[in-house]
Amino acid sequence: MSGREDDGFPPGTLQALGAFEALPAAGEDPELEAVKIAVFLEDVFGVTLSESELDPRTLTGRDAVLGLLRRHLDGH
Amino acid sequence: MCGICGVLSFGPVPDRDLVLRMMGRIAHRGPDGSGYLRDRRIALGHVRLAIVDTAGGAQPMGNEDGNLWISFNGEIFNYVELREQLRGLGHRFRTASDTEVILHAWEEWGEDCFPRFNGQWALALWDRRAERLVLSRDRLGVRPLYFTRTPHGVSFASEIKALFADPAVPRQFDPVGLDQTFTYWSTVAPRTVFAGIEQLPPGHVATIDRHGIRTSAYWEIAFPERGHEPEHDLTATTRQLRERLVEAARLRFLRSDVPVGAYLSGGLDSAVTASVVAQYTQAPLHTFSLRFADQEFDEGGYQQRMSARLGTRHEEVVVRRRDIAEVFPQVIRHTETPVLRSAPAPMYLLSKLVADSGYKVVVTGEGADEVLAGYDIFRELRVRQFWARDPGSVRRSRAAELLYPWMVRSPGRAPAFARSFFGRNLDPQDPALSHRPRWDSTMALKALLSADLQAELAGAPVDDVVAAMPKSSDDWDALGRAQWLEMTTLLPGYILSSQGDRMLMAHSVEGRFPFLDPGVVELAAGMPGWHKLFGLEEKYVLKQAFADLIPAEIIERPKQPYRAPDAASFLADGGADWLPEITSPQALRAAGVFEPDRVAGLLAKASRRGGADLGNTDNMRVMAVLSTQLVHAFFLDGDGGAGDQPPPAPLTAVDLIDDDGSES
Repeated sequence: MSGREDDGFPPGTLQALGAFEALPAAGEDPELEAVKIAVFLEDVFGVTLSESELDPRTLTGRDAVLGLLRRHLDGH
Repeated sequence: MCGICGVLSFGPVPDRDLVLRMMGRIAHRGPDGSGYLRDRRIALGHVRLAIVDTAGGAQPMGNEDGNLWISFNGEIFNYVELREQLRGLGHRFRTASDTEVILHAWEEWGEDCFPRFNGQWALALWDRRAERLVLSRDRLGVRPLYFTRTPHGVSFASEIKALFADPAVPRQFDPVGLDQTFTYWSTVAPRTVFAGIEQLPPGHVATIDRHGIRTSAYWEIAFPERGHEPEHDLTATTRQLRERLVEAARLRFLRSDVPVGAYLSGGLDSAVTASVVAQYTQAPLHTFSLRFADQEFDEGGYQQRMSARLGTRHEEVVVRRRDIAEVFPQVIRHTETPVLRSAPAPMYLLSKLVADSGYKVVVTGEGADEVLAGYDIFRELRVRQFWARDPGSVRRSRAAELLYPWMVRSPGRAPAFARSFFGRNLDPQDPALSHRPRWDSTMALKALLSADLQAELAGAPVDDVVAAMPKSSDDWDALGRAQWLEMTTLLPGYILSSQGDRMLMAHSVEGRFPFLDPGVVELAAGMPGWHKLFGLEEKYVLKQAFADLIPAEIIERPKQPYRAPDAASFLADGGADWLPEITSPQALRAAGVFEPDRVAGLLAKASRRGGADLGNTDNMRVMAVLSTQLVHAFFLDGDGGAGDQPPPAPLTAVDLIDDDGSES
């Protein structure tokens, strides 16, 4: 992806996250919901999350996900 | 839609009676009339289902000077635009048919005419002066085209049974073709299950002259390098998809001189095509649906609600297990190849309903699942890809639970099933990461094969579809590789053939497929994978594009793959009456494909509960045995799939050969 959105993310990032948030949740299992988010993030943004990041505490909420993405996309 | 056939000979003058027999064997493809051209090199046959220019489009058709002749099966949907373009280049037209447009397009552009066609076709062009035959097939293999090499040239036809009208054509199974079928669910072009019978691969053109046969691709399915897709904006691709699909459906509905109906399956794809037709054309719409007496397979409620919403005149056929058993031998006579599912049989009954209702053409949703990533195999790929990044991760393994709702409902069973099925061969570098579980599962039925066939296969050349993947596929999104595999194997070999063209044409009905419009296919291939498969949400961009036309209950319902009762259709209530004969030890030994003792064991096990509650592998095994034995009975042991009958009347003959064998 070339270019950056105003908040520092590649084009389409917020659009994709917004659309993803609109999908129904996987169920009442927070760990499974975290896995669902991780499948999406790894595919769309080409990142690989660590085992410790596949965790509901890391993958809950838009800000947390954006923070995680920012760290991966910046190569940290 | 029609049927074509021909005999090219650089030796003796082609036998007129042979081509007449060939035409008679494919009469179901063209009951409205027939014709042939014969000169000293070729006998070119045609049976016609008159759809465009019903008065003037008889075939074979020649150009003005009689040097170029065509026998054509299919439709060129952009023939009106091409005709105007060709008129501008000085060409003059005698008819209003798309067939004549092909003749002029060939005169103007030669082989470069084929990429200009938006259509579905199998055709033969004969250049009398150059003594050159050209065969061409549409991009994705909607229309079939087979040929066999003869001592003096080739014979070709829309269906294999026409080639078997010539008793000199060898009749035996091709072990590698069977092996492909028992792996990929179908052969991969150019192979068929018959030795010496080839099919022209989709998107290819063959030139045949005194120097032999040269085959080349004029089009190939391709995907961009991941990250370098031409458009990343989801809103833009959504808008483009809607525009192209609307135009594709309009073309396929309006470019016909006879009424066009539409299938409604209850799912998203046919709902989109029917809705577009209803929304963007003024014509009344007649819809047709397939229902099942088995509630497990029935989608009648969704079909009826969609029909009511669109205000269509709606008809349906309700299929029972015994209906499937009853028609299955005829189904296999038309598929001309073994099938691992009974699903073509209900489609055969549905096309009969269409024909009985007076319709010759239907628009359907075929191709959407391949083009826009609707199949579960693509979702499974995403899960396997995710898991393969760390196969030992328990958290990653849980992704398999996202695939199917029952896994979430049965958490106790899910992990074990997931690990044994979706967790096998988790090699992230494997180009066929998507398809390994299916292929491994299918190959389990090879345990039934006879010792002789297994020995033959052990020494046979490897015919690996993965090895045939384009070099550039290394850089594609994994979804693109999975789509390529699906569009190279199952789409042309089964969906469009055994479940498509053959079941439709058995009752002289033409299918038209907006999702396979080249503009739609190329747009979809060029999208980022996540526009199609959004997380694990299949056909996401399609759902977005038509959210205002399709009811939420259809967009949001879990995808229900089209299935029909398999073994249970044949083994309940004492079993199909034809089954004992084709599965007898004598019949099995004569075919030489399966080990009789193992088949007896399988059928005994399957019969215990009338075929019910049988696992997926055993269901496939039963279907493989029954369909393969029927193929043997019809084509290798019988009359080659069809008895001789005269070509459909009226017969138009252009015979340039005198009784003494000289050319007039």
